[in-house]
Amino acid sequence: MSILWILIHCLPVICFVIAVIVVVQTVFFVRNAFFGPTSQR
Amino acid sequence: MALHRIDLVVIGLYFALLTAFGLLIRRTRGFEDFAVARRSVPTLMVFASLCGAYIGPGYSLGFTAKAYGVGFMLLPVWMCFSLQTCLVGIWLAPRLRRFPGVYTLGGVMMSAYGPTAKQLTGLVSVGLCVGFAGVLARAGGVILSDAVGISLPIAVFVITGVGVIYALTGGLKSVVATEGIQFGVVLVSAGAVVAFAGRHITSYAALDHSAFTLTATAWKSASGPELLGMMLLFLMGETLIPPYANRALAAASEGASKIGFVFAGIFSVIWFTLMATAGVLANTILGHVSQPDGVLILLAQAVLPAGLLGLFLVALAAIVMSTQESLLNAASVCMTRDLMPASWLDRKQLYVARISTILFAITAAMLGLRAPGIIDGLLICYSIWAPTILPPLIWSLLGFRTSQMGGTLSILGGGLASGSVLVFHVASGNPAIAILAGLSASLLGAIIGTLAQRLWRRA
Repeated sequence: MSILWILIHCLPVICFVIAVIVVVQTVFFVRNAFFGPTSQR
Repeated sequence: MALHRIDLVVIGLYFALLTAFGLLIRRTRGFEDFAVARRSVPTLMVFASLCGAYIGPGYSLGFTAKAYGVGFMLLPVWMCFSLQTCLVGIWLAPRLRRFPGVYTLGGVMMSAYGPTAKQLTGLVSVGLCVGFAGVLARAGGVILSDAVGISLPIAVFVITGVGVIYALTGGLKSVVATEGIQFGVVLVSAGAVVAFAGRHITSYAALDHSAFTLTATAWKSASGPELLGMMLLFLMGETLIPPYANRALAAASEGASKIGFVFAGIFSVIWFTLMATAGVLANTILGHVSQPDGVLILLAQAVLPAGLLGLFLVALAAIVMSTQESLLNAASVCMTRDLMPASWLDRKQLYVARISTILFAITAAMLGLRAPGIIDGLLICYSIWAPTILPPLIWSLLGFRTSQMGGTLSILGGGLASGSVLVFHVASGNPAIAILAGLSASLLGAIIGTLAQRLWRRA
């Protein structure tokens, strides 16, 4: 099997999965840090 | 660059949303919040913001341009950065969390080597961050002016200005949050370029052969000392520069800092491979290109449909902005904590940090109009930082006995030696030689200083 075929097909999928995880985590981070109960003075 | 109307809408919408997001999350509760996000950043956000900070134009456009010419040949060299990030995660980053009340590397140096070392570290940190931000302002300005057809000075100020909005208002917490979003956009669009480019390949066996030939030819013509020099640069150049150290200091725990750094190191292997693959694909799909520096943009233009091309250009701006805002935040925090009186009240420190952010952003934009090329600029920054700050910093973080005079002379020796190599163009101003000369002088300074301090005490 071609090495570049594996890279071209796998790397974008890995990037997409990491992107989804990071964006979801960011939403939780923003909620907790700026709008959650601990964000109040 | 002629863009479809959908692409222009995507670009406009992204900048508008980012500005709105910056204004929405502008709340800052004191200087600790601004500087280290109250040390509450969880593991995944340490990872994401660290990746967002290190993926700049050099590690995206620059690497693809290199891979376009040499295939996968430089991948082992780039992976020295991955190794460095993992090692920092295992040994150094968690130790930074052990200094209570410390917001900068200057603070760490203060506890090990005294006030002079702190001020010198602050000075080098601010200079490095502002210089680095200037180089990035130019890179981002060139991308934006090419994409939407505005003049370079306006593009440089737009790129710097949008990043400043949230670095100024919400401090590190806002920077980390926006970096998460920007990193997500960068990942999706870079992945899309490679995935869509793959559709243009008719024979993967021929592509494998072409990549192998490209890599083998470059390997044969490479010189050993040059490769070793580059490995040294990637291994040491960016180690614990202020924006990365800020993430370690802001982590919710030692574990969060450690795992965040190690994950970021492992991810960099994936990213570098992706960029190298994009370069090889560009070589096959585009053929000869007169300016390889922009080969990633040309590849995206050739393979991405309308809408996704706009998202890709936005991602390029995000790559610049996420690194730049980290640098501006780090510079303002270093300025306030390392170079201003420590006795100032929290509110005054916050005020000074915000004013510094604006002043540094203006300076970076002005520098951006005169900055050298991205790679040259980064190499100058690397070759000053590594020999000046790293030896005494690592020595103290690993818990060895320290001497005030030894630390101070080590910083001065490293800085003067590497600076002299660059200024007087010794060995053609080779950055690797500058680092080696600086490291030797730094070691010598540390030994002389430690011995002098012992003799002084005995006398």
